[in-house]
Amino acid sequence: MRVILAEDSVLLREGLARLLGDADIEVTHAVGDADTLLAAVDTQPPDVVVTDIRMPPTFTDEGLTAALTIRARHPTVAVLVLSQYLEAAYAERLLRHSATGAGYLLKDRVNDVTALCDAIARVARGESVVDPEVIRTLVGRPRLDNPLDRLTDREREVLALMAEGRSNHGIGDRLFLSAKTVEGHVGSIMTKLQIADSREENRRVLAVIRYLRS
Amino acid sequence: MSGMGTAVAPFPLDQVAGREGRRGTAALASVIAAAGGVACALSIAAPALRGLPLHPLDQAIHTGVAAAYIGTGVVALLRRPGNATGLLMAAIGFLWLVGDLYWIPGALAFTIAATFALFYGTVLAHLALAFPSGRLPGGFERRVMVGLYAWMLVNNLVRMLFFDPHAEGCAGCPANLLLVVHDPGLERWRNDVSSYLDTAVIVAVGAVIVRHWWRRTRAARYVIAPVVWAAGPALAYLVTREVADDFVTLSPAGARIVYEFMPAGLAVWPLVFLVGLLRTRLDYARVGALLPQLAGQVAPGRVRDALAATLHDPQLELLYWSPITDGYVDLDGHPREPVASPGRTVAPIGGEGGPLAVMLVDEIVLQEPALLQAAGAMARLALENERLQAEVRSQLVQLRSTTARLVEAGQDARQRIERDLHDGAQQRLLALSMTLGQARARAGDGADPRLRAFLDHAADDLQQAITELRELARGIHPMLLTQEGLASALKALAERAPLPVEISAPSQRFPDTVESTAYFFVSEAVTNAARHAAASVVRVEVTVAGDEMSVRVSDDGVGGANPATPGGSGLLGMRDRVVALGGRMTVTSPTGRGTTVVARLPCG
Repeated sequence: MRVILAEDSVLLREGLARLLGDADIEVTHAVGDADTLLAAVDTQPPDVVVTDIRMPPTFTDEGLTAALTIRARHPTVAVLVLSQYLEAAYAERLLRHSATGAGYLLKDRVNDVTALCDAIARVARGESVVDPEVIRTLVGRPRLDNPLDRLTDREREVLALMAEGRSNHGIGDRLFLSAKTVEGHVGSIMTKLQIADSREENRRVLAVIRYLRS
Repeated sequence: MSGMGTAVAPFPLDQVAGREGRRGTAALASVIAAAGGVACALSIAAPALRGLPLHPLDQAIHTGVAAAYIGTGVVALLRRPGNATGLLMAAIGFLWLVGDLYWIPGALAFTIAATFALFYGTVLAHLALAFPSGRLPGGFERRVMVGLYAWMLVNNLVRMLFFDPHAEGCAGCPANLLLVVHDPGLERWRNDVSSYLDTAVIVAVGAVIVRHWWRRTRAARYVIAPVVWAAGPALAYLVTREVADDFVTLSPAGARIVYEFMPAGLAVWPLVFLVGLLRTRLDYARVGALLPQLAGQVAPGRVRDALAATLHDPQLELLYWSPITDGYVDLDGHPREPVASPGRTVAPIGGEGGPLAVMLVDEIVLQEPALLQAAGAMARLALENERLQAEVRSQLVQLRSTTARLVEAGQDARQRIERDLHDGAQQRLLALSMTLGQARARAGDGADPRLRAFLDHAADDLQQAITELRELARGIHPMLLTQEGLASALKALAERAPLPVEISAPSQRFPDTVESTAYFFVSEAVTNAARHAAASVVRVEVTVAGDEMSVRVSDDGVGGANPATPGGSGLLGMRDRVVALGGRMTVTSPTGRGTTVVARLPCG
C-alpha cells in the first residue's frame, strides 16, 4: 500500500509518516501544502492520499478541495481527510462529490494506529469512511418528534455503522450478525425513516448523513 | 474668548436708558403732552374768544399739525429715550403754535409771535438731517444747521428792527417792542433782499437733505427714506408760502389754499414717522417668521441672508467663530478680524458655549437696538442649532467608525486566537496523543497491568483535553463560518445544540462582520433558550430584504426575558454586538409565551 501524506504541521507529518511506516504502509511523499500534494499525486499516483484540511497558503480548506480534485483527476486514488473539525458539513461535502473511496476522519484517531490503518484500507477498497464521533453527534442530537425513536436499539446501531460508511458485511462483523440479518435491519430502517435514496451499500452513506443532518 | 475682547464692541444697548432714565423720560413726556394739550386748546379757544372764529376746517388743519408733531414727539420720546428726535418733533409743534400768540393782547406776545413764527421750518430741517439718531450725522450738517439757525435769528431780528405793524396796514395790532426805525423805502429794500435770500436758503436746505440722502448706505436709506420723502410736502409748503408772501398777490381763495390748507402737508411728517414705527413692528414679525426657515439643516450663508434681509443691510457680513483657528472666519473659511469701520459696527452673536459669530453691520441698526437684539437672537438659535447638529453628526460618524473598527478588531482577535490554538496547542496535543498511542501499542498486552492502567488513563485525559480545546476553538471562531458562510455554520450550530433547533437561512455570503455578528447572536439566543427558557424547540429564521438582514430567533419557553433586569446581561451583550454594527435588536418575551429576539443588521 502506497500513501502520500499531506500535513503542514511538521510535528504531525513526521510522526504520522513514522507511524504508517511502522504499520508497513509505504509513505512515498510527505508534503506540507496542497499544491505540492497535487503535483506529487500527478507524478506518482498512490493508492491512498492522507491529507489535512487546513494548509498553506490560505489556511482554510485547501486540503479538502485538493482531496476532491484528486478524486476527480485520479479515480483510482482514494483519499482520507484527517480533520481537526468535528463538523458533519465537511464530511457531507466530501461524500457529496465523491461517494466512494473517500473518508473523513478526526485527527484524534492518530492515537489508534489500528483505526487509522483500517480507515486507510477501507477507502482503498472503495468504501466511504466517516468518523464515528461525527456520526455519534448526529445520531444523538435532540430532534422534535424524533423519528429515530421509532427504531430499535439494534437498528440505531446499524444506522450509525451505515453512516460511518460500513458495508453490510462490515456491519455484520462489528455486531456479530449475519449479512442477511443486517440486510433485514437496513431495509427496516430505510422504510421506517422513509429514506428513499439508493439502498446500494456505497451510495447510501450520503443519503443517511443527509437524513441525519436535516 | 481670547483675541476678541478688544475688537468687538458690546451689544449697543446703552442707547436704551436705565430704569431711572425711563422714569425721567416718562415725566418729561407727561409735561410735554400736558403743555401740548393746553397749547392746542388755547389755539382753538383764542380766535373764538376774540370773536373771530376760524373756519372749522382751517382750524382743524392748523391745530392738527401742532397736535400731530407734539403727540408723535411724545411717542418717539417714550420709545427712544435719550434720542433727541422726540424733542425736535415736539419743538416743531410748539413753534408752529407760536403764531397764535397774536391772539393774546399786548406788545410782548405780539413781538414774540412776530419774531419766531417761522422758526418751525428751521427745526424741521434739523429733524430731517438728524433722523433717526437725533444727532446731526457729520460736521457739514452741523455747520449747515448752525448757519441756518443763525440766519433765522439774524434775519428775523433785523426784520423786527424795521417792522412797524401800524405802518404795514394793521391798525389794531399791538406795538413791535423791537422797532427801531420804520422807513418804507428801507423796509421795501430789506424785504426784497430777505425774500430772495429766504427762497435761496430753503432751496439750499432742500439740496442739503438730498445730499444727506445720497450719502447714506442702503441700510440707512431704508430707515430715513420716509423722513426724506416727507420733507417734500414741508419744503413745498415753505417755498410756496415764501413766493406768495413776497412775489405774487393772491386772490382770497388762493391765499386760503396757501396759508390754511397747505400746512396739512406738514402733518405728513408725523404720520410717516408713525408708519415707520409700524414698519419696525413688521420687521420684528419678520424675525419671528424667519425662525422656522432657519430650523433644521440650513445651507451656509442662509443665516447671513436672513440677517441681511431683516436688518435691511445687503452688505451685512457674518463671521463665524472657529474653535480650530481660535478666531473668526468668513463663509469660505478664511480668517477675518472683526473690526468696526466708518459707518459699520460689530455686533457679536454669543452662544451658551462661547462666541458663535459676529455681524459686521451698518451702524444705523443701532437705532433699533431691540430689532438688532431680536435678529441676533434668531441668528444665535439658528447658528447654535447648526453647530449642535454638526457636532452630533460628527460625533455619530466618529462613533460609527470607532465601533466598526472595534468590531473588526474583535473579529480579527477571535480569528487569530482560533488560529493560534489550531497551529499550537491542538497540534502539540495531537502529536502527544500519537506518541502515547504508539507507547500503548508497544507496551502491548503483556505489559504491567498498572502501567497499562496509567497509560489508558493518560490517553483518556488527553482525549478529553483535545475535545475541550476543539470546542473552545470552535466557540471562539467556527472555521466553518469563514469557509462556508452563515447558513452552513448555523446548521452545524443546530447539530450540536442541546435542544432541537430549526434553521432557515439563505446560503449567500455576507461581509465577515455581519456573518459573525449574526452567528453569535443566534448562538447566544439558543444558549439562553436552552439554559433559562426551558424551551423545547428554537426556530431561527434569517431573511434578507434590500440592504438589511433580519435574524429572528424564537423559542417556546417560559418568556419573561428582559434586557433591563440583572439576568438580562446576555441580551445586553447581544444588543451591544448588533448596535455596534449599526443594527437594531428587539426582544418580545411575554411571560409564559416564549421569547423572540430579532436583530436587524445592515448587510449591504
